[in-house]
Amino acid sequence: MIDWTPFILTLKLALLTTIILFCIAIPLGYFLSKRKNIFTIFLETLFGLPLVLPPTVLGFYILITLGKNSLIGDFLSEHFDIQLVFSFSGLLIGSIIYSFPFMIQPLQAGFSTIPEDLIHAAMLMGKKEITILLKVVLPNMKSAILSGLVLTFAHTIGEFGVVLMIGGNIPDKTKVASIAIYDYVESMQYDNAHEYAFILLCFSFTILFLLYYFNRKNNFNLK
Amino acid sequence: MIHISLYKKINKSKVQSQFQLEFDLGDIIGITGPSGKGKTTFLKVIAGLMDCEKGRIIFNDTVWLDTTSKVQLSPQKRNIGFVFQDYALFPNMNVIQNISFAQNEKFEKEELERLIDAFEIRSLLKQKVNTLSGGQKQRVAIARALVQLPHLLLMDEPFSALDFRVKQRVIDYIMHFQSKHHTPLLINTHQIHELEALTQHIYELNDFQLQLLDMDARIQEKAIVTQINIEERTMEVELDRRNYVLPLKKGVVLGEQIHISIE
Repeated sequence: MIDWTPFILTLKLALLTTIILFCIAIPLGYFLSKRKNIFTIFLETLFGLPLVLPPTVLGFYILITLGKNSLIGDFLSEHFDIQLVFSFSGLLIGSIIYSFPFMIQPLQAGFSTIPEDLIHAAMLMGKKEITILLKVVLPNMKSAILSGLVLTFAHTIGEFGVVLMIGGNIPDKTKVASIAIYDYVESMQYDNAHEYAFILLCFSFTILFLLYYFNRKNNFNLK
Repeated sequence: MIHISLYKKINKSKVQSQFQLEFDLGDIIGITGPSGKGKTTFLKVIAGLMDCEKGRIIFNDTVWLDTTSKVQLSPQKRNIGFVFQDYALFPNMNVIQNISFAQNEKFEKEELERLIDAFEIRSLLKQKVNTLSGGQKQRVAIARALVQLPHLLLMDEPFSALDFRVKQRVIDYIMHFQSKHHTPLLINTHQIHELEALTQHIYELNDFQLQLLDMDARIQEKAIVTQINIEERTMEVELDRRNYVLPLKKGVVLGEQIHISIE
């Protein structure tokens, strides 16, 4: 009988990461697409780092930033009795940082495809910035939003390095599906590892297939 | 009274183009001139969508722009109806949603019905704007600007995609709208004959400044096409027993009566 706990934990992590990142990346992506200066280029570089850095490097820095002997770790531990390392909350923070480019980049690309005249037209109608964003900008970049959501979700599911560094391998707490597979392989339980790996493979394939299908369908509809 | 005085470098030119106009509520002003001279840019500066090097816009004692005292009213607060050259219709909305999004609550329902019929867009109301032809999009864009009941209407090449019959209906409605609401209107077009049906106040943006065209010196006459030279891209027309050689107009046929301007 398969233990579904790592999968439930994985889905919980992926879902929360996706929701939080979406809320952060919408205003940030809008800001970055509107302005181009040395500061925004610096931010873009910073946000793109998880794409090129080995997960272990990122995990290491998060570990020493949030760990017990760090400034933030000490502060949270003393004042709020919160320990981020080797906890689900720490795992969530690590996932948010690691998956950031997968959300921000499609959204930023989506924002920049919106013709300036559409925004200008809405401004001249007296519409506020938030109305323009919700009624004009976001509805006209559905493909970009879908890409951002699905890629972030799928990427979080497949996360390994950062998760292992920050969360460790604590059952029911931080042992997500990818860690569970590693665990089974380490202990030579290939049958269990195969079951988990196959489920993850099918799940990831289905998500990507649906993304490409809906994006293609959306593009045809626009034409 | 509307006072506009703007200075802006167009297309990386070293010389600042001047755009100076004064007109009253209810006036229709036509602006013509070759492409690339800044007609669209100046409309966008008036709307507050672009900056200029130096400028002042006063609309009925309200300062919209004054670069000297650093006053710049946001586009949202100017209440300008703008017909964009590329229409700028919202693709996520259908025709009626585009119009409703812009509609001022004081724009009466009966008036909207009249506008929909005049613009012949009733059968298109539920259609997504991406499925419309260029002419249909242009009519929706003009309708959308009018229902806003703007303080000032700015139109950038608003009739370029309309055929003669529809254009006439649209112009008739705009004239009716004008007489009812006294909205001042600035129209950009490079086709001067479109402006002549609407106004006598026609300016040309050329040589870095706006110059009032002397319409009396540009009497429109009907001439008959007597010869067409496709190789040289010229046509010969006869007017009052005199022959003139003019650049060939697209679609012209032998014996056709066409309007020509005599300077």
